[in-house]
Amino acid sequence: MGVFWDYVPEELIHAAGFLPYRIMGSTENISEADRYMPTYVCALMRSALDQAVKGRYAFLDGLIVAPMWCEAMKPLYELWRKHAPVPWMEALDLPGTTEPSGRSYFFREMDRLKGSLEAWTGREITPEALADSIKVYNEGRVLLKRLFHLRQGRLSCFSSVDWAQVVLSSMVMPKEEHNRRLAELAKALEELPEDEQENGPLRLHLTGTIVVDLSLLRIIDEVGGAVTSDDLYTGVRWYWDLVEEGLPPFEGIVQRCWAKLPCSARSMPNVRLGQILDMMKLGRSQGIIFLTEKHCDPHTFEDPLLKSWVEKKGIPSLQLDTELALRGAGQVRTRIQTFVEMARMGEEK
Amino acid sequence: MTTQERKRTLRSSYMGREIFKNYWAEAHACKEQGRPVAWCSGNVPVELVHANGVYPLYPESYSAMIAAQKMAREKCERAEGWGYSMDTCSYFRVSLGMEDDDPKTLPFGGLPRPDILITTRLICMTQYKWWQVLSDMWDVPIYVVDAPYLGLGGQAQIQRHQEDYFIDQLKGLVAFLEEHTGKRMDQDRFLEALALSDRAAELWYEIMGLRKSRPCPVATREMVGNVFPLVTLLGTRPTVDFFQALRDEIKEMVESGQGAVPDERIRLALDNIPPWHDLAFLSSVEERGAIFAIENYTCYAWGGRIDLSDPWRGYARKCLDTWPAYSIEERIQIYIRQAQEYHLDGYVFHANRSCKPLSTAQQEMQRVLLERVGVPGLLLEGDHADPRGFSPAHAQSQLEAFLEMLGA
Ligand code: SF4
Repeated sequence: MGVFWDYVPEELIHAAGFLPYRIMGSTENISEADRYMPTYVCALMRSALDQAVKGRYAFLDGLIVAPMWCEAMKPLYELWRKHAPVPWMEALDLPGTTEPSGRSYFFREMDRLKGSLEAWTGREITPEALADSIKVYNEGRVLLKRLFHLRQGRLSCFSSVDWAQVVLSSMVMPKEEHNRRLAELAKALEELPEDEQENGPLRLHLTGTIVVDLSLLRIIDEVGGAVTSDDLYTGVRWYWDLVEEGLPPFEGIVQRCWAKLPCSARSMPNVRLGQILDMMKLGRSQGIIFLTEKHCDPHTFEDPLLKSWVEKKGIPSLQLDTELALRGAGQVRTRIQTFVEMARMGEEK
Repeated sequence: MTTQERKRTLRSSYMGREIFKNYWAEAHACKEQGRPVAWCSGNVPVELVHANGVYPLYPESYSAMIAAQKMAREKCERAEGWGYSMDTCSYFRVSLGMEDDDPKTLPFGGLPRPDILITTRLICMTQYKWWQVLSDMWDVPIYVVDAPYLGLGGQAQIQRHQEDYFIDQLKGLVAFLEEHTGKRMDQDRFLEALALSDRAAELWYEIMGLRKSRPCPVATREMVGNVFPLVTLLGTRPTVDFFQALRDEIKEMVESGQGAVPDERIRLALDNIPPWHDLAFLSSVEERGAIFAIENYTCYAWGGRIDLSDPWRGYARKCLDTWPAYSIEERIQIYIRQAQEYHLDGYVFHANRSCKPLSTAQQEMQRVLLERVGVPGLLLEGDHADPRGFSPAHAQSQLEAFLEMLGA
């Protein structure tokens, strides 16, 4: 079951007997989607539609798009439905506020989603099944968080690319299997000694939307940096918050989506600043790379502001434009390399 | 007569021009008198702002005016120099780019500082995020009128719980305004504002209906100027008076068979915000006997009838009913009807890279309109305020080829 964007409740899908599969577009060239969408829509939407029209998601039984945030997501859903229909498709709305009236609106939307899924499969999604799924998904989140911390002292054997692969695979693999592997990995890591404090890579925070092109991370690793914290939709925003297990299962699942680290489309920029600083503390990060996804309004508006704020705090930062796939690798490498060197010099002073 | 000479064909449009001038001038007067000024984004429920005695100012409209006066480019470039991407809405870049300007060099002495900020998620992400940038800049209270997304997958009906949610947002705005003015909102004044808004919409729809006539009495270029009070001054008396005069004059023209273009042969519709920096482009077709008879920009963004027997619900429904809320299929249905009623020969889709909510579905609409009802459309790359996004020579030749194809 396709999961488009990070407010889709995976536990619900899992409890209904499907494998949640996160749609992240592709780094492949976009060709088909240009017939339907202008090029000034962000690459994620265009790429997802492109892949869909090319039949790359033909294996999907269903698809949930949530939330209907922006003016690109809505046509994406409609065009997908029309030109590459998936047997069952739903979309979900999520209010932009955090007020109580918004919360009850959102709970209603989630109820509708659950009802629609049940009507389509002809099977009720029981509280017991939901509770089981919550356990599985919470376990995955707890393991990722543990690995996040374990990795901090062992960057020499756990590069940014490796870490991204661990996290990205958690979005598409069967969860039980992935959890088993995470547990093994955590055990192996615990047995390794921590790195020496001296001469480590420059620790960096990565902020942006989604990062699926590993070549960018490879560059960071190669020029003496390491991503030690992030607030990406393919990163901590995905796995950091747990479902509270004391609540009735469905309520817990919805509440998690409602209250988790909010996306920029529903919060003020200072909220994101807070998230960045919190995560940086945990990752002991020394600088920030802003990956501004082109045509993504929440980020194109917010990033210059955030950059000026972190500069005032004396945190070195670099801003790069991206479009899902890395373009102009040579230039990007030079900029990151220069940034890493400058930041180091700043540290030594 | 050249297009330059007949910028306005209607007498009453000059009345609109006066309203426009007074609106900006009065903003400064308000500031001096200590009456609160709110910077509002394009689709903030303005009747409530008026009813609370707060003066609403619209930076987007101001940006459009700057573009029309051919001053937009340098402002955009300045904002880009501050790190703002060329992909952000040009209204925003124009507006921000004026920050360091001496107000004396700006039309009407620039915009007076806001006391409060009001924005909404009704229409686009831009308005929401832009106002956050303003809130950092001015450090004044901000209120966001949140809104549900409607029309998912082609079911236009606004659902009751969505209305309820929006009513709650409207009441939140009232509380915010009251807190700022220190006065309770006068219920009678609120109801009167709604009644005036409804009356203005009734007149406006009547005017739009009159444009179905052949020949068409008034073209797009003139009407996108006259729409201004519908954006900023809904719920006030002068708007109603103006629209009444406009309606009377247009009605008279229709009754006497007078058209805006002497030898009208081709009728077009404009989709999307006009290119403010080159409005002459729109009237250039008139030399070939063509006219832009209708445009979605003036019909589906502001104004709307309000069921006054259930004021809050009626008001909420009116606010929620806008073009960006419609699904692609609904937009197509509207155009199929419109093409018939307005006797249209073709659509010009202004592919406006600055405004995603109005642009992302255009390719699909263009294709389906041709397939289903044989109405051709032309996609023209442009930008509503940033002239760099628009190549006049290229657009002109595309438009001419299109007109030729239509038999002009
Ligand atoms: S993106 Fe479009 S709707 Fe939004 S502020 Fe810009 S022009 Fe207006």
